[in-house]
Amino acid sequence: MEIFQIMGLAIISTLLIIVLKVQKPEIAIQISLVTGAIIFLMILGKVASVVELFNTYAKQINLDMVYFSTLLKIVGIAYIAEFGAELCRDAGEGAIASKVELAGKVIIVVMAIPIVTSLLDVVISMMP
Amino acid sequence: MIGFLKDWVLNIVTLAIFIILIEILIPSGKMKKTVNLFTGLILVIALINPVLSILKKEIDFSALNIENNYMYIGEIDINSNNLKESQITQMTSVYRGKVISQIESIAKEEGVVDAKADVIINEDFYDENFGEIMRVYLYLNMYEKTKEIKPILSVERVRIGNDSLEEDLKVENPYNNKIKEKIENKIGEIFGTQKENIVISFEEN
Repeated sequence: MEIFQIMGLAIISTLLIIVLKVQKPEIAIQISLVTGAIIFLMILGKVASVVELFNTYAKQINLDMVYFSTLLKIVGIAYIAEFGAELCRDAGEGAIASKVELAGKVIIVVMAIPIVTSLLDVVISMMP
Repeated sequence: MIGFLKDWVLNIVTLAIFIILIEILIPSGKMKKTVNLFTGLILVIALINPVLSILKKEIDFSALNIENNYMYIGEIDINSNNLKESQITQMTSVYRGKVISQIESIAKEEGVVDAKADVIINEDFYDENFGEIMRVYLYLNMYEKTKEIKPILSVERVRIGNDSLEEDLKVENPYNNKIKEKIENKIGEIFGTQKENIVISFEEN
């Protein structure tokens, strides 16, 4: 059961951080960063298998792969941006955290520009 | 018609399920709103696209190149660099071909029946001397000419003992030497190549 491993890791690092935060706050931040990365890597393999499953079903039912890949890209960007922002916020850098969020949002919007433009084009061309 | 409807319904249903699963996956922070907006837009397009295809106004995603729409400028830079490199190689190969044909025609002007040339060009684009001809190899065939004006006498080499040093000395045809010098001078004049970088050899028949 991988969840026990993750939980154990999380508890140990939390205790370490609590102990270290008083004396060495800079190391506490590093520990939280590394823990986050390790947990992320642990679930990455499982996420890959889920995406693979999605892929096979999408192919089977002839789903437009464009929608699918765009969706996955948006989710990935959102996840990474959130991860970075939370990390910054934990370290007490709220300003940087909000910038990371802004960057994530902008990148998602840029990615979705073709969707929006095509939708607008359709609306405009439908007008008599 | 039934097949079309089936495809449409399946498309919408799977997309809706995927979107729900993705909403579970995304972190519950500030990004959720943005993600929701765009997943919703994608669902709207999936809904109206088949209707539009009846009206012959289907949204062509492949034309929009959505797969690579990341607008990653670094990628454009890399692509342009690759293009530049391929252009330079094309340019040098064309230039090389022209130089070779010109050298061959120079040789033929001097009365050589058949000439084959090869050149080594400075191919470093960023070098100051880009395009400089470093070395010229020329293989000349004098066969038909020599048939008319035969060498006065082909003297067999007289060997005395087993002196191997003698092997290196070649008795060269004076007529060939004359042509060689003429061609060397001409190539040197036109391309500015040093004489020691022009290697001319005669094919024996």
